[in-house]
Amino acid sequence: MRNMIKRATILFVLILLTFSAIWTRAFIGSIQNFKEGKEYFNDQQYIKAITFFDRSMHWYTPFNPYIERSAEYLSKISEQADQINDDQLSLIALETIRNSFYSSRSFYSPGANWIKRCDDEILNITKDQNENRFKTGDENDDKDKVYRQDIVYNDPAIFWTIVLEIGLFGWIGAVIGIIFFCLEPPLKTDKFTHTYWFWILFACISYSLWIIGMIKV
Amino acid sequence: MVKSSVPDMDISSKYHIPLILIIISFIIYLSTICPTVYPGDSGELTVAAYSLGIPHPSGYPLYALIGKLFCLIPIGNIGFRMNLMSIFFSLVTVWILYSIIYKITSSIVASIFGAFTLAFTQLYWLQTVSAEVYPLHTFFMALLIRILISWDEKRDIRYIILFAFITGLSFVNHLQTIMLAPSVLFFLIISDKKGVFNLKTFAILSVFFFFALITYIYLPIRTNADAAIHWGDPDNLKNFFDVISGKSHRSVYVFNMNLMGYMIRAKDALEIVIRQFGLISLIGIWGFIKLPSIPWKMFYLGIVIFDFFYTIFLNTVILEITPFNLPTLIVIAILAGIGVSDLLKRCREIYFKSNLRLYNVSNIACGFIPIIFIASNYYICDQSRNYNGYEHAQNIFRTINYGGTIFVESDNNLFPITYNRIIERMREDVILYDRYNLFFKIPYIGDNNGTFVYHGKWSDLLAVLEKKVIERRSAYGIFYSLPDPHPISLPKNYSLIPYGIISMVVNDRIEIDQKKRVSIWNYYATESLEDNFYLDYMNREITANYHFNKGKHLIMLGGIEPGLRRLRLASQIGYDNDSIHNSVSTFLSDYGFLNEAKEELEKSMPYYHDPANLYNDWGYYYSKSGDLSSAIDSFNKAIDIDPENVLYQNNLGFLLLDDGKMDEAIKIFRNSLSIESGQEHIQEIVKEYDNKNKDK
Repeated sequence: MRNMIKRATILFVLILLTFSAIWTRAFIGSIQNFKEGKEYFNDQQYIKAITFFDRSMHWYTPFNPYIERSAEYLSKISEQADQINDDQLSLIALETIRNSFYSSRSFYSPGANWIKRCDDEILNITKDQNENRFKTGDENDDKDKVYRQDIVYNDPAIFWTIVLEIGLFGWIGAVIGIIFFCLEPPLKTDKFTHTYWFWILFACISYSLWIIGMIKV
Repeated sequence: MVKSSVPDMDISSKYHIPLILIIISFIIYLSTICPTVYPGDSGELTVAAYSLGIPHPSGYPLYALIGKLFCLIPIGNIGFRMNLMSIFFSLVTVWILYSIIYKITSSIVASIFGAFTLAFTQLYWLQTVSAEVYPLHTFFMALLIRILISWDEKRDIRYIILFAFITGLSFVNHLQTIMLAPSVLFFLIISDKKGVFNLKTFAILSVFFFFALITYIYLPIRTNADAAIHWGDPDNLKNFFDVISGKSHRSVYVFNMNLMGYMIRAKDALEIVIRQFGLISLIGIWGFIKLPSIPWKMFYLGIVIFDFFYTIFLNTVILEITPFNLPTLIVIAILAGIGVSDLLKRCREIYFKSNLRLYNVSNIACGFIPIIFIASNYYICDQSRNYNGYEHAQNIFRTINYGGTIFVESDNNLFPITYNRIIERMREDVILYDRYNLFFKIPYIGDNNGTFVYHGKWSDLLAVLEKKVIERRSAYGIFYSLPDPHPISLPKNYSLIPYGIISMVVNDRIEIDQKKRVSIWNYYATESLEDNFYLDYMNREITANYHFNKGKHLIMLGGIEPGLRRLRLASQIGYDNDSIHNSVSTFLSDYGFLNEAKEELEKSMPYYHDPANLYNDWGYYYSKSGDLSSAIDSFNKAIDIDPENVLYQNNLGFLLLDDGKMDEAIKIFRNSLSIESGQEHIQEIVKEYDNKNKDK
């Protein structure tokens, strides 16, 4: 028992260390790129500034103030681009904010407000183009619909993803359990019967969860 | 086995020291990891994991399923998280390898030497810093060897059953697992034929093996669920078997070379393996000699031989892209560990009484060998500034007008674009089609309102589909992102012009906005593309293409010298890429830089994969330099080798046309049309000729 606790503690510490190292790596990446982006921003080299703010945001970490600050700077670039009528630069800055937040999704989606704000602003800038976007010369709308690409993402649902993963590792584990606890003597003891049914049941349930997860996800 | 009589360190260090080393290795890997999506397959594999979709054959269900778990880590971006998965499996492999060598030698130093030297060989390390299926593959290889060792030690049939099950899982990850079969079968037959190959055991083994293969059920389920990508649509029996057997790849990569090609490939594969370990390979050979067990000797030798067989004959993708030799590296690492253990034992015998300090020094020196590998490979494997795939896709999207359409081809274009679109939701206004019709399918709307069945060649249908799209959507901009835009057949009155790093379809009757065409270069993210870090083949292709397009742009604007500098840089970066040399040479020929064009063709000759293409390129060069007979001769040779290629036929046809040999040219054009009927421009020429003849 003491040995098991010791092992569990070591595992826990290892996992903690691993995540701390990853978090630190991402945090440092975020700060470094933010600083570089700010330098280019002050130097009015906006495309370069966008590149580094983009990189800073791609090093997403929870509780990292530089993500928000990079988004703010990108928003500022968009505003300044609007003032000089550089729609392309403005769109690039706004796209960068939304892309970065989308790329950081995990079991939650950060920056939902930013994404909405960017979508609204992009729509505003591209209003004229957007109205004409799907019109063709012959105005034959029925046929032209075919070319209006409806993007299908079908992002997996988090709940079913978790069900699926539990199912996957569950049935793989259960099969290994069957191999080691059911396939060798003692063959006809009560203990064996219980163990046998436990692993079989475990495998069936996990396997079902995995299949359901894959369908529903 | 080569067990030491005296342990070289305190036994309590058995786990503590490697654990500390694993943590240090993790930090080193983390400092060199690619920060986002890597060029090549990484983009596609990452999207497959994120969306629980299906990448290229054999579908890699296990990779996608495990990868999805890594996508949920709330740190960094999704591309980075999938790169972390590679680190995870690489480190677990190193741990297993350590335990294998320790099991064989009981020497901590030898185990550290073998396992951590492998960890920092170039090939292994480079696979660790990006999202690829190979770290998971090496994990399974190491695990299977470890299980076999346990079976050999305990002769417990359950280990063989576990082996069968894990082999099945490994198979679901990578088909190369099959190359393990001859060695394992031989080993089992020699070791315990009666115990393993009786009917009952065989039946149980088969059940567990096939049970693991059931993981492939993922493919039809996720296709039916309409996952964001599902390559090959494996939701019916035919497509399913095509995908899991890699049928579509077989024609391209399996037994597709001549004898010389195989010999060169064998030499290259051997060179790559030797380069990884250098002199340590000799210690590996020593370890092999010192293996006391014949079955184990044959087992390790079998892995290496069949691994080479697979690399040379069964999957001839460029070696730098696909490191099929990783199982061989695992074997060498194990053998090197055994070899070192034996050498240390000898040292101990010599020095133990006379000079204990010297013995300790030799022990420590062996443990420190991996540091030499870290130092010598760090620069090459440091991909921490590599945003090439990401920036490349970003720049492609930045080139496209609002509401524009793009056709994409080649892995290096399609996969990063797929990542940026599906994961980062980049430029959702852009209509995206891939020319293989795999992820972003091209719709058809003809005159029959939908129902449409086609039994011809994909290239013919593609031409029809693209023309429809171009006719309808050209007002909003139609773009192509291709490795070579020359063979595109466009509708009448449309041409393809270079536009930033891609090509744009223009209506010949409408003037394009030249100012925008020039200014597009100011909006590109180029920090990574202009940065100075080690580039592998796929990265070199992206970077060289960027410089090539920039050079082209500068020359077209009149900046000859800076333009030529860029072209030279492109040629230098893509030194082993025939496609880059081909593009540079064709462009230089077009602009009259004939000496430079010739130089490019000469540079490309050692790297050509397709001799027909080489002759065609020479033909084009000769036609531009006015040497018509050499040009005709070259084009004819290209056609002889590949008579189905319309580009070669048309090049010859136009040359004959320019030379006034109308009848011969028309004959060639007719032939070209019989291969690909939808070439409107060629149809026009033939029609005009026929009309003239009719008038006469």
